[in-house]
Amino acid sequence: MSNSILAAISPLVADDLDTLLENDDNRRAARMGKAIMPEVLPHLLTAGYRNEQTVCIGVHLKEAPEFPSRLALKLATVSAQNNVEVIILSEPEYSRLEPYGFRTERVCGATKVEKEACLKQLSSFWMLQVVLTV
Amino acid sequence: MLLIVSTSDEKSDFEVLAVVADQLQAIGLEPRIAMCGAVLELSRNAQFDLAPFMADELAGPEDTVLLIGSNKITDAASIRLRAPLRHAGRVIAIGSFETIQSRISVRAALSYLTKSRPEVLSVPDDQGALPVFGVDCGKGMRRGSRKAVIIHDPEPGNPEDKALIDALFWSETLEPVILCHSAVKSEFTKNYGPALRCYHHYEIMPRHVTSLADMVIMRGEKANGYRNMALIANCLESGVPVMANRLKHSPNWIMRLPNSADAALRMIDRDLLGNEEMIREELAAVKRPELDAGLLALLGQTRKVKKDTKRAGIIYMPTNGVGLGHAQRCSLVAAQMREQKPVFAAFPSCMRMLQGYGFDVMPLVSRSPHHGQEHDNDMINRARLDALSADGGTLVFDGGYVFDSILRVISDRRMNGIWIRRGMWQAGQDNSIALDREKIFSKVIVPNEAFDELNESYSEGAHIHNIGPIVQQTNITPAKHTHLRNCLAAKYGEFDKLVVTMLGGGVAADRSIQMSVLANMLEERRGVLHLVVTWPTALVPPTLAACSNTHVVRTHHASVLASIADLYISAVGYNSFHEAMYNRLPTIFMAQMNSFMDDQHKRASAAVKRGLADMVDPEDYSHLLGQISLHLDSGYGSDIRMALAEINLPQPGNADAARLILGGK
Repeated sequence: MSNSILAAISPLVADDLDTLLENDDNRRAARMGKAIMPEVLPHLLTAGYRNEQTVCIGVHLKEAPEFPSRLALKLATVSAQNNVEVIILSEPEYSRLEPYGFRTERVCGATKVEKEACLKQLSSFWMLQVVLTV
Repeated sequence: MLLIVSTSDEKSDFEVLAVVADQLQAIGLEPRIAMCGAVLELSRNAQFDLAPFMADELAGPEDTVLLIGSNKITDAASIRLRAPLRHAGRVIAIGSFETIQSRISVRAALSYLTKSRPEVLSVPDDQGALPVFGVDCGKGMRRGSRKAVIIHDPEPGNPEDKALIDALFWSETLEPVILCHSAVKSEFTKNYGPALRCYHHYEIMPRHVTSLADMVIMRGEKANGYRNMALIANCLESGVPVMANRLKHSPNWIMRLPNSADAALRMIDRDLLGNEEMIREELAAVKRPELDAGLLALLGQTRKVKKDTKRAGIIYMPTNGVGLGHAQRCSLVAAQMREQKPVFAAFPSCMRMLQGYGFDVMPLVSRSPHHGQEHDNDMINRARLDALSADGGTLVFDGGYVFDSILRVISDRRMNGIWIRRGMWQAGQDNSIALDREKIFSKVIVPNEAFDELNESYSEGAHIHNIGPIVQQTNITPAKHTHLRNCLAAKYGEFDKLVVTMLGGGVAADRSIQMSVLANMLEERRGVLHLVVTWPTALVPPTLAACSNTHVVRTHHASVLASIADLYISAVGYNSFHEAMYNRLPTIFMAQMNSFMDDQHKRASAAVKRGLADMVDPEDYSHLLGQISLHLDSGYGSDIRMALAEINLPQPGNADAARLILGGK
């Protein structure tokens, strides 16, 4: 996985045309909806990974990176050198690392309890022993 | 917290705990099942049963522990249970205790494990040492006016059972719903198709069976096992009459049913239909087992179902398929009912788009290539949907495959399930599971294709509602058109012709070669601006960066951009196709074909043969070059716009879909 990510990393980003076009989209609402998450339970029934050698580490992203390709390069290097899969736990709407092939889960919740329960559920699902906060 | 703890770590004992929890939830408790580190090879169905109740927490001083199977406590179990029980505020030990000595013995054993003084509730041994109690399940959503008759445990080869099912299947007033063993379910679905709703015991909770039932006919000789006992108890509480003709040791409130199908129907017609209130009164007067009252008194609850405190609103759950079509379509319908404040449960790649349309969105988890069980992510989604939904709410699903999470949450939360199901399934696709799960939905809304020959029927019944195409119609005035193009010119330089390419998400087929070919074909044309639209989570193909008049853009409002193009080059998903038709866009279609997708080639062909669009095969580059030339050099695009302006297209179905979801007919 890390090699395919390394091969895909490039500083090219698509031009964002939302500001130009959004006013003419008749579905656009005056108020953005929220990312919501009721208090959820941990996932305790996983049967493990398909490949027993798989190890995942979590990267808890609190803000979207300004230069996603730089962070992607760092994380892909960690992944390649340590033979681990990197799972992005993203608070922003896009981690901006998705285009390179990083698996991204959304972390949200209106309260601290909801957000922590969400993180705990994702950590149990991915069997994360290590979560780095960026 | 009410923590259910089992003294057993046997798989079969754990499976039944979810049913106990579901029954307890019905009376207003919030039960959790302590996993106590158990690693079990549970069936898929049992895993989905347990998903909304699992807990890894230990009981605290405020918590009550319901210790199931207390009479079977072993030394090994004592060690395993020490941690969850140690700080529990209250422990209720449930089991079969035939003698005073056995009660004293278990209380003594538990005193070592917990600081609290354990209370003991003895249940009969033939209940498997489990607390059986009924709850009033209310009436679930009905599809039509026919009364639902649950046929419990029919045998596929039994002529009497077959005659009864046949008689009900063709009845105008009654509808059979089969509840059987998983091993024989396919025998019924094979013979009757999706028109016969058929469940096996482990895909539906007793509480939901009861809420679906107007009456229950038990065909087996036995109805043991906790699920069956809970079903019978629920029927008594819910005023649902139960009939049987082979059942041994049945309580006297279960009615005898004649053997012959004709006589059975006559009896139902004479005694039951139209007498629901009287039946409810009679069943309410039946003396309940003392145990029921004992358990409920211990828990401080009554049997009356407590109202869910959460808002019973409308939840949309679009599948994230190859593209974002399901989410787009749902948002068009949801936009028709903003005052109802619908919310979405959607995969992360769709969230920003839906939030931009003003909807609150709960993220779901996509399938993982790493996990050993392919449904692991769906169990997370089941738990999340369960936490988001409330009894009696509406869940609108848009997708081709009905996930277990959808089936379970509609069933267990007794929601009104509605399926928006577009057609154009490919010939040879195996849709048997999808069609089997149609049973869970009160309505199936089929947004038609614009052209009649593309519309096919996959199932029939009063619950199927065909409506016009669900499509976004843009309203770009000439002044707006000029303004937007001027803005693009200011950003990218002057141009005469605008080409917009949007070839899909790349899940079904990698289109980077086609994008590169298009960019190179257009590079030599002066005065052309070529915008390649990608989704924000998609990779920008590096080869496109070298072309001077091609730019890769991202937007959540691609239909607006397509509306101001001189040429639109597009995949042929439902939404893209209908936007091209209804917004009169001169389009070259390039179909994405894969076995799990809709038949895009067939859809595009319908427009091509009417002179409303062009289509090229993805590898036919010379044809592509010719078509581009035709559009950009000969004014052919204007001809297509005129042809589209003249054709009569069906009225869009956006508002009709919303009306049906809100209860309209």
